[in-house]
Amino acid sequence: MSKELDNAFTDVRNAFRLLARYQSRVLDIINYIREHTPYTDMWGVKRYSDIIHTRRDCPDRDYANLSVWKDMWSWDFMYNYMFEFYFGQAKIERKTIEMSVIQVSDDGFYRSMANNPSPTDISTFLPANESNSYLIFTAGWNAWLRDEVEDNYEAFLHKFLAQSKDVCVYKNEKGHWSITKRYPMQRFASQKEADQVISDFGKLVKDHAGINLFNN
Amino acid sequence: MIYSTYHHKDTYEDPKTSSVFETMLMLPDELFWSVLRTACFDNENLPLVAGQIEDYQFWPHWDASDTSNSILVEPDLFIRFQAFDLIIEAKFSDNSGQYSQQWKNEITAYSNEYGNEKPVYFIAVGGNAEKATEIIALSDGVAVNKCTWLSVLIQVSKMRDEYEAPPMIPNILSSVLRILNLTELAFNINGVYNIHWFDGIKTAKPLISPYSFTTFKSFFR
Repeated sequence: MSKELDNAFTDVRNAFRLLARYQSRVLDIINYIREHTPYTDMWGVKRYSDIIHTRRDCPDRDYANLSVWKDMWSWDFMYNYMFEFYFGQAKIERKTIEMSVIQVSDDGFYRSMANNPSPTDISTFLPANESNSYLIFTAGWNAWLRDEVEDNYEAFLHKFLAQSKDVCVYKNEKGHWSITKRYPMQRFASQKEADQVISDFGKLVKDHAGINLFNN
Repeated sequence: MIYSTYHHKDTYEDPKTSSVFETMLMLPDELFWSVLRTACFDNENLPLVAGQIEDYQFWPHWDASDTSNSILVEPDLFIRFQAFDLIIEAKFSDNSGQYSQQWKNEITAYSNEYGNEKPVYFIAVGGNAEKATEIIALSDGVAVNKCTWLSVLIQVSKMRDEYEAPPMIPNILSSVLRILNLTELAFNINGVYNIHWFDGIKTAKPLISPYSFTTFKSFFR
């Protein structure tokens, strides 16, 4: 076999090992963020692509139904490409507030310069060294992951990641609100820097919604 | 925070000192000393074997004669091991707050109370800008060893990982494991975390070669 192909598989193995180290950090950091809030639970939602799940007609509970032959994306196998950690609802100052942190490992598709970018064709993505990785913080009271125009979560996230502005504050006439801000992953290099992000998002929510999202 | 609540001390480093050390003190004596000794940055002067913990006191009140204090001297924690005595002075932050006059006072006040019947060691937990051991210029020149809250937590987590490793954990060790987990929680609720941040995956240059993408494209269309 060619040396080039050997090298390519070395890179694949290295990529997985790097991802394992990366994801263990993401999990530590998500847990750290949640411990600074009143939330005590956590749920996950895979974003960007489908989940792999069993159906009633699967031969065994451990086996999932796959349609590899045609419409299955390679991204379906990669949970941490874009993943939402939903903390659920908590009563804060007599309001039921929801909160999530969304892991965006690569915004290359959303910021693509191609005419017709395809989520399955990485050659249409913005190059990796020009793209970014983020943790998106979002919280809402009777409004969720939206702005004035876009009230569909997926469409809102697409728009939010494509735009240069890193913050979105939505508030309607009833006072319901949804506040979203993205932070580059590099800002979670240390506990001190993570604390600065937490206090920044806490201040944003305090300024616009008047509540203290984080514990002191 | 049992001891700090009992002593009506609910500010600064006191609840932190209380919750961390009261849980750690439940460990078997030799494990407690091993964690603390290893957490100190320079620890060659500290004995490897401490023996049994005979007594301990949070915030004892000592005679202030010959110190700069007028009423009393109050170290954070005093532990009497079989082989030596240990004074612990803790500060809330890891980087500032310790000062040598306070160490001198505590060492002098220790002599007022206990004379020189036993060797005495001093550990300053947190609060040190400089991590190297300092010798306090008194007649008997006691060394002040230093550690941070984080360096103690790292040792606790390391020991926990070691105890978790064997496939079968005997009952006696499962209680040690519970104490280590509880100690870690005591650190966490006081803002000390031993978690991996992104700093740890820094790399001088990207690991994955762009050529691999083109290789895959040419071999597997």
